[in-house]
Amino acid sequence: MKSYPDTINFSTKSLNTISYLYFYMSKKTGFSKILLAVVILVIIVAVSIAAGLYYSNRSNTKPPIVLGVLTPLSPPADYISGRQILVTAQIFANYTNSHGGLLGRKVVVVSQNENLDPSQAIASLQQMVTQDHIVGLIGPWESLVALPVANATQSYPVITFFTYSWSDAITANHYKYVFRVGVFNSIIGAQLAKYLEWANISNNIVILAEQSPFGIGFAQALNQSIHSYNQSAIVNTYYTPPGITDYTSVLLKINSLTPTPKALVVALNVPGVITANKEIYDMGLQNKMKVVQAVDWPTYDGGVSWWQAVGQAGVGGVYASYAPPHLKVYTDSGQYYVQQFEKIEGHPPAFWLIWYWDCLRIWAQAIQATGSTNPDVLANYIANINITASTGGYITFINNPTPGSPYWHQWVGYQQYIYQFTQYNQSTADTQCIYPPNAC
Amino acid sequence: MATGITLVYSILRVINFSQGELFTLGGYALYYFSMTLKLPDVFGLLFVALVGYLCALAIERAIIRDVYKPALERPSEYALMATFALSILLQNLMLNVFGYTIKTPPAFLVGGLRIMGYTLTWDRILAAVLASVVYLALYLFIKTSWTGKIWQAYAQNRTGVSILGAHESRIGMHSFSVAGMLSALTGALIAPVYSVYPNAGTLPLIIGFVIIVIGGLGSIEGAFIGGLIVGLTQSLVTGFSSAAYGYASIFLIMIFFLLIRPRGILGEVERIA
Repeated sequence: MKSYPDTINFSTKSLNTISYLYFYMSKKTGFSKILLAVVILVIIVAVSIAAGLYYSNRSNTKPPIVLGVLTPLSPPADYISGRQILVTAQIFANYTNSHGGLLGRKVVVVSQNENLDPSQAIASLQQMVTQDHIVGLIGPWESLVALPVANATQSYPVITFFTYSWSDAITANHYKYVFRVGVFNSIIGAQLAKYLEWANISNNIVILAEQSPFGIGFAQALNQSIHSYNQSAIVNTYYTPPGITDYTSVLLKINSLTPTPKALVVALNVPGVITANKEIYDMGLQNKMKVVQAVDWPTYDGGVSWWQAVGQAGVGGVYASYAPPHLKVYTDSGQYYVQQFEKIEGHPPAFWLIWYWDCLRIWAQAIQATGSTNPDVLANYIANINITASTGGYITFINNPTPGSPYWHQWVGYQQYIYQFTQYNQSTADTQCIYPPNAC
Repeated sequence: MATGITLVYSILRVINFSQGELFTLGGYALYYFSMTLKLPDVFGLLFVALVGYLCALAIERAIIRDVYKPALERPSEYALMATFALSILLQNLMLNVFGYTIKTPPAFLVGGLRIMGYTLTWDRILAAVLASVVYLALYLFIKTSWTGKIWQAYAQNRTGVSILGAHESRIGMHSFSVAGMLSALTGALIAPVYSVYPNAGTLPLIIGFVIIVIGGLGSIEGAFIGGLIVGLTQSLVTGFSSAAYGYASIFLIMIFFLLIRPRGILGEVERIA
């Protein structure tokens, strides 16, 4: 074996390679030698070009600003909402990039599936913060997951927005990087109690709620609010595990309550809320008591699932919503968002998605104004922000430092409305607003 | 559903996790049949049966048939893992193909029977009646027909049946397909009552496993009795306490049976020749 001057290892190895090739090629015939030489030359040229492009690209472009979406994207979680949140983030990224990006940098969306699993969600958050280097996060949905994720931002700091995760604790725990542009159980319960009082059906109600932070928190908040109006009101609460499909036994119990409740408030999540309502209406409970949806799930797909599930009996059904009767979008970017969303999904976005759009606007404004992606800097800016809300009014955050107060990093510029289906197969865009009468 | 699971297990010694997805597929098949063709529901059920049979046949040919190969080590574990992976694949495939909105096929029969202030819809009654008819038909088929007897013999002694000339692969193919057809029909009967969505089959599959553990793995009669026990227990416990305890109670019963009588009520002790 020949030995070569051992100046550097790389040279030795390359010389060995060349001598091997020479030895190999010397065994070949003329034509195959030429062919082999051409192939080697092409490979060398291709690798050189690729390396050149790669390195020149790297030196010219700034790293992107990464937006994280951690949301349910598959069953058994509410993948319906999760998918819409992801679409919202993608539209926002495209919109922002078409306007020059943020700080001259592209906005890139990375997503992970939280799948209604708190431990999976926290692991995903860890990965997104430490490896993807996300600067903002939206998407954790049901409070069962949203609350642990909010808590985990203490260990993995990132500006995180919630809109329709209802647990009070998300803001009541006063997490530094967590902001809510949306509703929470105490306020929802208090506002719904007002409607029930106005409709004269609050003195005897039954609540069918999901056994989760959302459902339990809502039921307790509504119970408390009703008793603040009427100490002697009867409030029966039945909890069901999330994800079940058969509500027959529970509904039979509700059906047999005496005195008969005046209202049945349904606080369940998709898909159970649809099967529960189907069984409620099949059983004829709507003839005995007013059925009130605490969550505006019929609006998720414009009412299609509602009518398929409950049929003609659904006429007269009511649901609570935070969408104003004539939802207008007051910002240019919001209007762009609604148009794009409708193109992709076939129906306009629900109001809580427009709130998500505003969350992203807030996030973008904070980055542009501070020139920073540091979560501490952004959190301080956002806590004092004042921005036009796409649904009207302004978004500012209340920052009540009293321990346990949910009015921390919390926006409260919304009003609950009660809508009623007045015709069979009616779209939720056409339902009648019945409360508050002066605002409808 | 439980009958389908136990049929596959008794003949092929395979736990089929994708049975839940065949259940869901049955619901979707009925939905799209009803919404697009608008033909009488009996045709819809026939269509569902055909879809269930063919899909199960495809699964059996693609994945399960390797179980018959003598060279395959641990065939039961192979089938379990493969069908579990297939279940996840099918769920997400259905999510992408059928969309994420929840679909409810039109009712077979509108209205219901009023009993003591409670309306029992005709669809529920129809589902119970048709399920019983299908179960009875399957039972009679297995007990009295030539093919059914071969299936019973195969479940007892595979080698003996193979020596006598029965085609192992065809037995597996037809029994698996029939089980798939049963699950699809179940899904179709239930869909007008509970709606259909991509993971609609997950909970019924789990409860199906509970039923066959209680009733006895490999016993069709046991599946029937197990189903009655599970249904009554869950309803009664939910009625007297809460829905969470209702579901907990059936799993407690399953654990009890696993500890005290692992073969279930009518299951047979496995004899190894």
